[in-house]
Amino acid sequence: MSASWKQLLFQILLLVSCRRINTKTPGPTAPPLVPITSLPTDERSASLEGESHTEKVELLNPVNLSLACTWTGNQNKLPNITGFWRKDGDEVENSQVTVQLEGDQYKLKRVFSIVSEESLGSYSCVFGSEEAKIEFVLAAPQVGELRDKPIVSYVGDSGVIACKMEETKPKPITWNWYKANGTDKEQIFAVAEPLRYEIKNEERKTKLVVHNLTEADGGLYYCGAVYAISTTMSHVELRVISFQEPLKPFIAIVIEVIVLVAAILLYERCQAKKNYTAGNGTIDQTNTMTQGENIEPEESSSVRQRKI
Amino acid sequence: MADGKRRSGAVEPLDGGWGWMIVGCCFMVTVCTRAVTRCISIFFVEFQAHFGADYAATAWIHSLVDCTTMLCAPVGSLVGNRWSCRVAVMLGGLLSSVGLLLSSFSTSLELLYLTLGVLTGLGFALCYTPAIAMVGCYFHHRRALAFGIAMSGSGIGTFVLAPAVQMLIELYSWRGALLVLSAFVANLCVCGALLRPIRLREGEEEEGEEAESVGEEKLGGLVSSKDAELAVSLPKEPSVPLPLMAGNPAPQLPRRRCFSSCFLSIKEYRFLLLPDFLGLAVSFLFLASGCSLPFVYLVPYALSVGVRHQQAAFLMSILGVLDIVGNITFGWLTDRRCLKPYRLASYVLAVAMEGLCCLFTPLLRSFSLLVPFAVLYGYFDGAYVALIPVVTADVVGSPYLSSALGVVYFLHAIPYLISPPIGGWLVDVTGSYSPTFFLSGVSLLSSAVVLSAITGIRHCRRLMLTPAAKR
Repeated sequence: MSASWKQLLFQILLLVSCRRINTKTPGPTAPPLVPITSLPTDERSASLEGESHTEKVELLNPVNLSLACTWTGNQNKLPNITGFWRKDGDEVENSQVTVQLEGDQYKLKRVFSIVSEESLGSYSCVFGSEEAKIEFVLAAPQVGELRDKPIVSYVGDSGVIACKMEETKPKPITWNWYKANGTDKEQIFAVAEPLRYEIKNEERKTKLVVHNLTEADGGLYYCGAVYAISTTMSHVELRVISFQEPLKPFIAIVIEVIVLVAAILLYERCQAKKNYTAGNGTIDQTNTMTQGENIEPEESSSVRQRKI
Repeated sequence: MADGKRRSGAVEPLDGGWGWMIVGCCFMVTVCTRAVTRCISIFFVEFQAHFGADYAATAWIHSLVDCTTMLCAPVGSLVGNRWSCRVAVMLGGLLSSVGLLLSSFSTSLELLYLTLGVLTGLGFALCYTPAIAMVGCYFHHRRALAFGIAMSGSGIGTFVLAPAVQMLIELYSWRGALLVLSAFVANLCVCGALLRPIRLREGEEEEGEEAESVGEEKLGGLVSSKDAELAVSLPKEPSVPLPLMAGNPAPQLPRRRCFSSCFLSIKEYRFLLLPDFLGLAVSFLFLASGCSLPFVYLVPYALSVGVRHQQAAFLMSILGVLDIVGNITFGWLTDRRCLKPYRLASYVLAVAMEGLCCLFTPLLRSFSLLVPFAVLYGYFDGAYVALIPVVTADVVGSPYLSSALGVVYFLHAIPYLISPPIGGWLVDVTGSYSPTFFLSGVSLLSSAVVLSAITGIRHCRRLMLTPAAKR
């Protein structure tokens, strides 16, 4: 009986001490919303030879990310050096440690729990007093193939805006569309206005169709790729113009064509009349004939040839 | 040439003067037809985005325009012969302009096929052949150079129009761009108005010309239908003589007009039975099967061997520029007195060189190796394009040039249409671009071989049959 009682006491003690250890594990900002043990773990490391280095990390889901930095040191090769972590320029609390020189290298490692959009950003490990810095940029997959030129559409026509996530990047859970309203972004719900908006989502592509465009529909549109960790945005500009705009160069060129054709035909008619009234004697000078007058000069000239 | 001056009333080919204006008009026609056709592929991305179609569906538009332009080429030459080249080109300009205008308002991809593919293609077909035939009428001694300059319009036009079309699409979207393009194509009417009909020396004085030193085809090409009758009396010396309409031209004159309308279609296409022309036709079929494949598959092949995007685009630019250079320089070269008798041989050489280049392509696996390929291929491509009308005129004679060109371009149509998809199928099936380039090289080489074989055989036969009647 006493042995099992001791066992129970021991188990309780263990539980309490473990819990204490758990709460000591630091999160960079707010305490984690999800119990740490249920998050998957991932590891990223980078080594530095020079002064600074940047590494991009793409994350989809909440994860316990262990970041490791390895530095080969400078000429001094001190046995001990201080190292600390920074997030987005602010120093992480309680992150300063003393790093021993192991096998000609300094190693700094820390686990961060990345759960939401606020956890993403730039994490840097710094050795000494800014002697060496490695930066990890944590972000969700960005939408590639951005169209930097605006999409042009006409009043009354339907405009199509598309966003695409590259094949090499993981596919988002879903897509959202937002319209810029001043500095805010308003989400577009196609269900609410089916006559005006239509959203077609495929795995890696999304298309927003705006029917019956008006001038007010122009502006910036944002497509957001939704991942478990955050939503990445990219924007496209839609420009709505009226039909008069391309009509101006069109009419200008058509007028030029009509004027030129009329001028050429009139000139030839005058020229032909002049030659005809000059008695056809100068036919070998001109090879000009308008269509209607093909018949008579031919006959007379071939008669003339026979005489020669 | 002295003979020509004796005749008053008809003129010999000018080889200059207003002829250069005609060359300029033909240049503009080539710009407005061939270059605009190539620039239509710039619209594909916009069509795909707007209509939600995939690449294959939009690529049909380009194939339709190309195919219709070539298939309806005989219609163009028919209209040009029956009325006049001027009427044909102006009508074609109007039709293609209307086609582009309607396509800018289209609401579905199928409507685009109809307006942009069929209507515009038909309009282009009505312009293309008569304009080229007109250049053939106006030039004799400097024919190849004139054709070279006229055909360089497609290369130079693509060079200039491609960024312009891109800019128009950015400013006005594809609808506005098509609208402005339709106005641009209406300039074909201006070119048509400038194509003055020319009446060349008539054929009844043929006998006196036999002794002329020029070993080329005889003069007397007439474009308007009313004179096609007299032109029949004009044989090409080494080939099978066509029925001579000997005798007094005067009694024929009143009959000429009704002759032309009744017998036009038969007599006009007499040249189809010429063995020389049949050999040429077969070689054109092979040529058209092979020549478009490298243009379509060079960039994908370059990307597959690791060339960067910008470098691959640069390869296409090299092809385009060398095309222009080949057009003009090869035309000038084959006009030189020393090379004139060997024009057919130069044409065969150009085609054979292209074929060889294509055969070696699978060995070229880097950008620095592909550049010489692009240079050579582009140059010889421009070379043979400039020589097609010249060689055709050499074989059938100037009076039939218009109809013959119609048939020649008609023969180009189906191979142009089916060879890129066959090339694509080969790529899909074998997983590499080598079979496609082999196919292209073999087609081009067989075209050259067929033509040289037939010419060689007939030359030998002629020497055996008529040893005295050498040139």
